[in-house]
Amino acid sequence: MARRKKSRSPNGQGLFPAISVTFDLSDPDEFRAFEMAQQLATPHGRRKHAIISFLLAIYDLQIQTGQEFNADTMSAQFITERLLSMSSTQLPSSPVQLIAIRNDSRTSMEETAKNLLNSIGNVF
Amino acid sequence: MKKYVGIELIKYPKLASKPTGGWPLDGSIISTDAGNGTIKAFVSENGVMRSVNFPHLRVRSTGVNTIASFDGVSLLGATYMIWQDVRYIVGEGALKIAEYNPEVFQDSSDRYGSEHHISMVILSMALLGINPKNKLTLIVPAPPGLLNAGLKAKIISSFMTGEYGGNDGKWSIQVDEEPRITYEIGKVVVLPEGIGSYSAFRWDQAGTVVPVIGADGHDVLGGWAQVIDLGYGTADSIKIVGGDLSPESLMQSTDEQGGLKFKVVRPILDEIKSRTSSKSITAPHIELWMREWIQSGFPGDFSVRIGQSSVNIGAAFYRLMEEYANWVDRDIIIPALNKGANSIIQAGGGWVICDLQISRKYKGKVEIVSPMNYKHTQPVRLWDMNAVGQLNFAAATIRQHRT
Repeated sequence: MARRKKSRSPNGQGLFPAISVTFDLSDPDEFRAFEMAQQLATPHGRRKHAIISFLLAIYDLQIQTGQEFNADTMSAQFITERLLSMSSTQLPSSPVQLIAIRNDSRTSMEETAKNLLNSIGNVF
Repeated sequence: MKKYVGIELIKYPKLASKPTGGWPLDGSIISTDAGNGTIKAFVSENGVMRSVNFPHLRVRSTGVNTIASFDGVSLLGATYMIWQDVRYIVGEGALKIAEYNPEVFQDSSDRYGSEHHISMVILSMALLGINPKNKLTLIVPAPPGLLNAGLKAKIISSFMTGEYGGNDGKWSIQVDEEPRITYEIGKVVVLPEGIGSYSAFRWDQAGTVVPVIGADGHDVLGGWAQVIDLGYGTADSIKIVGGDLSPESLMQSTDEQGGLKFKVVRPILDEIKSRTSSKSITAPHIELWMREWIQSGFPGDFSVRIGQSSVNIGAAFYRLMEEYANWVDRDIIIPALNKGANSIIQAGGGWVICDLQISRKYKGKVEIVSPMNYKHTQPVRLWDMNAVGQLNFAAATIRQHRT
């Protein structure tokens, strides 16, 4: 009986469109990463979204800096520093309300009427 | 009102109460809407509105006496006009009795202000029985995405030129065996399509502001209202936030191939042409059948005679109706909602075939504002919303500037 060959990328070049991650929970860094993965686990499918967003961010960073990344140059601290340095301002140490949000911002019917008439003008 | 063969004339009941200071519209403002499919004209005088509606096509007629009238009704089932010394058959019957191919002048911004466009507008005024003693103001809409300064100027100057080029705005026409009439246009107001539809909800015929309350108890025009006008040729999507027009969005608001002609009529025409030997079937024929199919209640079996064949096009219409609704949702509604629209304002005849599917999908989630849901718009059909609203807008403007 013929046995199905296991599909595997040649030389581990990442050609197979799926990845499986096993965290080493004895490693403090990987433990924290695992905790983050748990936080993102609900609702279903959010971890994949987070991983893809992260990889896309790295991709964009690579395009913008012109620096090619590899596993040796990657570290959490490196990525964090690069991302922060791209921000034009420092993140505030405590949350500050810069944006005021009003829940009911609808215009009254008289105002909508006036606005439309004014935007076209006295054409008659 | 007089009757003409193949021409729809409607007199409406009073749709508003007389405002203080009297009715703002005196019958001298004519609201037109010459779409790719039909031409409509509305006039309101002392609170009473009348309208005319007929296919936007004309067919040259050979000879002077080919159509004999009897008791005001043409024996051959059509109305005709004499326009610039040429006799044309017009109205629904034109396709059935014509020897020549119909002139339609569709799918081009050049048609606005063209001789064909002017002839249809002047004809609509004659059919409405507009008093030629009044100096008239014409409201002419154009798709917002095509309405640049050049087109607006072209429309105005074309109508104001007059038939002898004297810039007097005078145009003459004869309908059937009636006396020749000369109209004088004193002013042409060009508005982006969609403004009228919004105005049809916002004001009544007296120019009085009317609340348009949604399911959440708020006025649906108070937030970001996206007017989606699904016409025969184009589909327009206009953003109006709290009554403010967004000039930037106007230029990107027209899909020139988003109307029923391209999404429903053309595919059926191509199919018929590829499977029958018919060479005489044109888009206006399919459009006529589509209207009959809609009026028959969207039947699955709907056969038409083409030459010696009977062709059932009901299933094809049905399938394309569903596909059109999906396209409108995917390409117009969802992008507008993603950007922040609070309500979708229906306008245009295209909604007739996609309202059910779309309203069902968004029920309880997004306000899909239909004229059917409000007392002051209920008598107005979807494809008439723009022209009716243009009158409401005129009434409100006149009242705002009364001294």
